[in-house]
Amino acid sequence: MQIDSGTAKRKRSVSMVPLIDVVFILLLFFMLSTSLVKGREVGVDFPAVTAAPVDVEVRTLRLETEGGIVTYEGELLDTSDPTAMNELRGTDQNMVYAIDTAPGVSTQALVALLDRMKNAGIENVSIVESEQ
Amino acid sequence: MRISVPSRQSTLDSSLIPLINVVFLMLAFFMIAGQIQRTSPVTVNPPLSISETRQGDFSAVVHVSADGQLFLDRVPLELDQLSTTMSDQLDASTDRDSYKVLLQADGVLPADTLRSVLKRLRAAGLLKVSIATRQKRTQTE
Repeated sequence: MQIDSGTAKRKRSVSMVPLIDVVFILLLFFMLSTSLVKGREVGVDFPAVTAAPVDVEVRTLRLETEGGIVTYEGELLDTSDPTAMNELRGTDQNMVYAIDTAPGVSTQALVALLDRMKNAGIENVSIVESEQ
Repeated sequence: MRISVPSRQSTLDSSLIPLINVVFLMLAFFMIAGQIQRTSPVTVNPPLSISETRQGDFSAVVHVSADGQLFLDRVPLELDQLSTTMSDQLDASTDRDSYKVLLQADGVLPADTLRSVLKRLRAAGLLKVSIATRQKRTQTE
């Protein structure tokens, strides 16, 4: 009498090795080519896009230092102070704000100021055009 | 009479099964959670921001490295060429209003340089650009 020695099992194990190889290669491809960090974005409107300038008040803030010191009409503005920011925001919904930067200020500081303004509920913020 | 004895091959098989399971799970994770992205032509670390707006689809991507190197859709170009090149691309597009540009600028790039780039993009006729940022982890105190 001959008992089946499990040829089916041996066949299965033979076909599994290439499968594992392929799966490893796929895994390697996805690990190397995918990015798990989801990028974010901040929208920037260009000021005065319309040809005919409409009657809109533009308030220009100047970012003086990398540390986030901001001046408005020559006066120091504490952007972390909610009262000062509320006063700046005013009641006019159509108000446009523009940010000017002093030399030596980085993009990171500019984006941080945009964040602080957004936190204070200030919309319609643009960046003053460079002279260069 | 031959009696079936667990061979070396079959023990190898059974020990491989958990490994294959884990590998399959990892594969599924990377396929679902990850996003395949084209490699950046230059190393750019976008600024940190609290912005929650996820990057959508863009018609064109402008990379500006920390030392001011400029790339439009991974093609290096000079700052003065940006306006005309972008303008040509905008003219060639079918829908100007939905033309979106993502500006991938490094966080340490001087804001003056960023403003120069923005000026040229505006001169090309763009109405709006988006600055790429990285999500800042909010600190809980």
